[in-house]
Amino acid sequence: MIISLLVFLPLLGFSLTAFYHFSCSSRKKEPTVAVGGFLATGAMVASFCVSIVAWFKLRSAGFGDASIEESLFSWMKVGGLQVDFGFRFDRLSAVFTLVITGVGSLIHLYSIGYMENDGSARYFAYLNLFCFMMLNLVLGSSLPQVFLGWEGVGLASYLLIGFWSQEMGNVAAAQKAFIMNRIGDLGLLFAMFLGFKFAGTLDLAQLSAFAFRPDVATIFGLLIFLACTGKSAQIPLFTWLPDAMAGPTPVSALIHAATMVTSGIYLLGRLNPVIAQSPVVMSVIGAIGAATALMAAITACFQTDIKKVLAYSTISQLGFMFVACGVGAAETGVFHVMTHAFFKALLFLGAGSVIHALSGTQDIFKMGGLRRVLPWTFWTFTVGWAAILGLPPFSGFFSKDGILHETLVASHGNPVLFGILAFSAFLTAFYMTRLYVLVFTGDSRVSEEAKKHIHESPLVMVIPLVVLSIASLVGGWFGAPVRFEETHAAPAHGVSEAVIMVVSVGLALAGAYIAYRKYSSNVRMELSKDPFRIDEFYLSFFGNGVKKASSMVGRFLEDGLFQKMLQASGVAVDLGGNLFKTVQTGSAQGYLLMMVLALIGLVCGLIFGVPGYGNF
Amino acid sequence: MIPDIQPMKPWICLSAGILITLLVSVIRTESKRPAQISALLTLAASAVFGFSGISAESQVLMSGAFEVSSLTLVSLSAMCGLAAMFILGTGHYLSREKIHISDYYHLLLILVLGASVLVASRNLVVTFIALEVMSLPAYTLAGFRRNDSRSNEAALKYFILGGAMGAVFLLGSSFIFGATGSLDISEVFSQSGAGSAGSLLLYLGHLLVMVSFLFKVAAAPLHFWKPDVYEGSPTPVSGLMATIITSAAFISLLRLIHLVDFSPASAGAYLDLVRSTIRVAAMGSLLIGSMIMITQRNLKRMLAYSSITHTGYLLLGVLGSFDPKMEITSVLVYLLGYAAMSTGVFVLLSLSKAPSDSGTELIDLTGLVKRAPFLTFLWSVFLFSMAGMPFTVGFFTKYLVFMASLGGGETGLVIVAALCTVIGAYAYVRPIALMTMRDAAPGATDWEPTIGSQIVAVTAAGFVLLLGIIPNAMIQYLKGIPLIH
Repeated sequence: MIISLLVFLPLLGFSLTAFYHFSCSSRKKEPTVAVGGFLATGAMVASFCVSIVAWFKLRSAGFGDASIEESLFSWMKVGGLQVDFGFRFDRLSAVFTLVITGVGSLIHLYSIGYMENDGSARYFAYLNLFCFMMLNLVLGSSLPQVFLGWEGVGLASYLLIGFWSQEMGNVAAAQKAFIMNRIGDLGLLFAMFLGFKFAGTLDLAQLSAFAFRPDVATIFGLLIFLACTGKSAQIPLFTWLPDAMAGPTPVSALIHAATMVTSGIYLLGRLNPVIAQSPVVMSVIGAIGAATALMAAITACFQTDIKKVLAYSTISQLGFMFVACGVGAAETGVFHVMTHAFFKALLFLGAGSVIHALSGTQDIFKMGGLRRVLPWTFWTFTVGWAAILGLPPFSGFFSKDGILHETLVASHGNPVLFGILAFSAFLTAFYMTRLYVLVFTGDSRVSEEAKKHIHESPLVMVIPLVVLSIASLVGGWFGAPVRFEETHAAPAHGVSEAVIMVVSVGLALAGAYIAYRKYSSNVRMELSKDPFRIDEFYLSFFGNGVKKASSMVGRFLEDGLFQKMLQASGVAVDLGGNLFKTVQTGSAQGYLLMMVLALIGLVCGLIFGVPGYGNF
Repeated sequence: MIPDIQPMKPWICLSAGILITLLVSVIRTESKRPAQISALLTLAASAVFGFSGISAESQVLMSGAFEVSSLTLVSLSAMCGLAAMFILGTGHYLSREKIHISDYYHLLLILVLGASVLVASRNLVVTFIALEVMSLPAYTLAGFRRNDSRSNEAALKYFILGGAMGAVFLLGSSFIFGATGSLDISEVFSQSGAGSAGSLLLYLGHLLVMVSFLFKVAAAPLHFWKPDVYEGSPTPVSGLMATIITSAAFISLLRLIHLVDFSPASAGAYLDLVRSTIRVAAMGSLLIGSMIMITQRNLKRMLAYSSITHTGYLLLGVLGSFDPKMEITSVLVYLLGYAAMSTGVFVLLSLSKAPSDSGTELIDLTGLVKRAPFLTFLWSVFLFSMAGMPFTVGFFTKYLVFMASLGGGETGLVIVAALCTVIGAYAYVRPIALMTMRDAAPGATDWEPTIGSQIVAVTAAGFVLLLGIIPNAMIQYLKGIPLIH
């Protein structure tokens, strides 16, 4: 029951923290961050320890196809469908589990410091809830269970984005994230229907081993990918992620960088054999991933909010991972998930440390020269910066280089993808160096007010930074943690890895150099802008469109139709004396008219629609 | 000799209880307690009789007019339970609104009696009487907030439209009688001569009867009354309509549809008409309900449109039942789940201290998490369940009706329904956002949680969550219940 234990520990933490919160508020006492944080963090650390034990257990079983399976109870049995509630711990889910519990523990710890002033035990309860759902997502043995986790993380993310609820923007951002994810979730729902209809099972192992008809495999793959675009913020469903930065920064680090947004990659990795059956799906994934990587990287260059830069950077890096899945090298994508979890969490927490020090300032043009005052943050951020640029020997180098290499040699590889990704990598170096230089070097542009309170973060925040920077350094040294047998096609054409390495490091250095020249001195204020304006397009097209259509339908049916029908047809029968006049039943007549019309329609349908009765 | 009266004990008990309650309320007019206790005891006794009577065998009594089977007994017990929950959970509302207490309880019991007989009826006359016995107290109860013109309006509208639809039902029954010379539902359709002019009359009659039930469940385009009636009625009465009346009408509708023998060739064409009628009604209810729902600011009106949408989903399950196996599990599960969440929502809504003439608006929910964290939690459970989130029963109910109607080949309709869940999600999440992420707006009304209402709401929430996490037991149980014996 070791897997169930590690999954349910965060749930236990959630229950305890929530109980503490409720018991405090019923006694009119303010629930403190320290107690809530201690309970929640303890649960996560315990879960991490259990994961490590499980990992070693799996290792002693020899990895490969080995897995630890636990079935808890029969969940539903309807028609031919039988779904068990259970967990499957194999190499792919093991990597995700370790990242979720490990990085999760660090972020819980960090939150104790970060949220000390405006947090509450409720925040930690939500964080635990999130981790529980996320573990369900990656460990669930069937597609419905994945769906459960999939919706659950969306819910927890919704609660956490809106945690600081005083600001109107957060409410809107939380709702937007929820709705956009619902659209993606429809893909998963329909994929489930399809999977059950054709494969007759929703068990993930059986489903991914099933040989679908080619056309079904294509539709199935596209539906799965639609779900992934929602959760993992790819074109066209990505605009919620930058808005989601309205939540507390540790939340951005955990949910919107390290774990939840990578669940799309997990799903593609899990269903890799089915996805790989359809070349169409593979090219769509590759193309969307590359387009997202490029578009988000360009947008990131124009952002001035430190968290927004990192958010677009996350979208862009997720694009890299999807390209890896699309060219048939899902294991490299998963490798990048792992290294990205380390360095992006590190960068977010570093950004959080900066924001914390500056009492809430997020504009990078109002920072500068923080190297001296925030030494720990500076050095750890430097590691993260080097890792995302892909400089050897930092972890990002290995995984990003791997993806670039695979775009040329993997079975669905394509030089165009390589070109787009290489250019995106160049832009990545540019915007990250821009951020780095503007925040930490040069002269201070910090406002006088913020300067008074500037301080290095407390120890609980520094420890996670240090641990994550060590992980960001060494995380790539051991190579990709997962291998999928099916994708090992022979290299199409032999491009040596050394050439790619030189190209990618060269591009990174070039981007960094240009940014350094531009921003290291004579900094001029820039305004944030979105060169693609997709958000505005959605808002005007869908948001207002749906609202208008709804209110039109409402007006039409509620008021207009009846009034007009009554006037036009003159059938307004006086239903009975003064009594009715006093209570305004004008529209009741309209309702009746509508019903009679519906009846007439039906009777006509019977007489003319059913053959053989037309002459009656 | 009095024949076969033994199996009808639950119904007889209910009827006797009505008389006692009526008597009690006449004798003790000054206090609401005696009538309330009498009503609760009646409901408890007949639910106990109902439950203990459940067995695999069914009996047809009263010369084939009345069926005592697991389906009818389970429905009766569930309806008694729901009514008891409303009595326990909304007592404070009646006092606050100064509703004529003593009449309230026996009318409520009569409504339950009508609904439970409706489900058990196998004869069109009995069905009609049951329909009226269920509806007349509902019309009266809708107008119980006497000083509010909207409540009067609601009662009158409901009465006029319901009366008209009762006439449609009678017209249909008379056509059926004219065609077959019988009013026994199971006989009527088994002896029909296919393809003859007589069967046109029969089908016409059946169609009219079906339409009158589509009105009761407020399927588009017969849904117009619902928002007005919900808004005007006292909140507990709106809740009774959403739970007991909807469930009874749906089960009755299912039985009426499946009693038709669709095997002759010409009946196949009629089956197509029935299916497309339901398809159109389902699609209309889904689209109209969910699209108008997001424009509503008044919570009760929003819930009315929400229930129109749920009617649409339920009709999806009805469409899915047109396979040889007559698989109605999805509809029964949906009804049960929907009843649980509606009970919770309406009991919570009755806690609002908003003045009755303006009604409870969305804005009254703002900042509730600070004012009443536990209420916020309960609201969130029910609203998320209505939106179909996993971990709540709302997810499985939707999932099952989708699966059922996909099995019936309704792919296009399921896609529309799935899109409607997205539109609906917006409407359901908005109140949660207002509760948890906004400070209380000036003038936002107070909420007054009472012990009884909280117990009821917690029970309902426990039901919603328990069935959402381990639905299998419920599904297996309801699966074993045949629609018709």
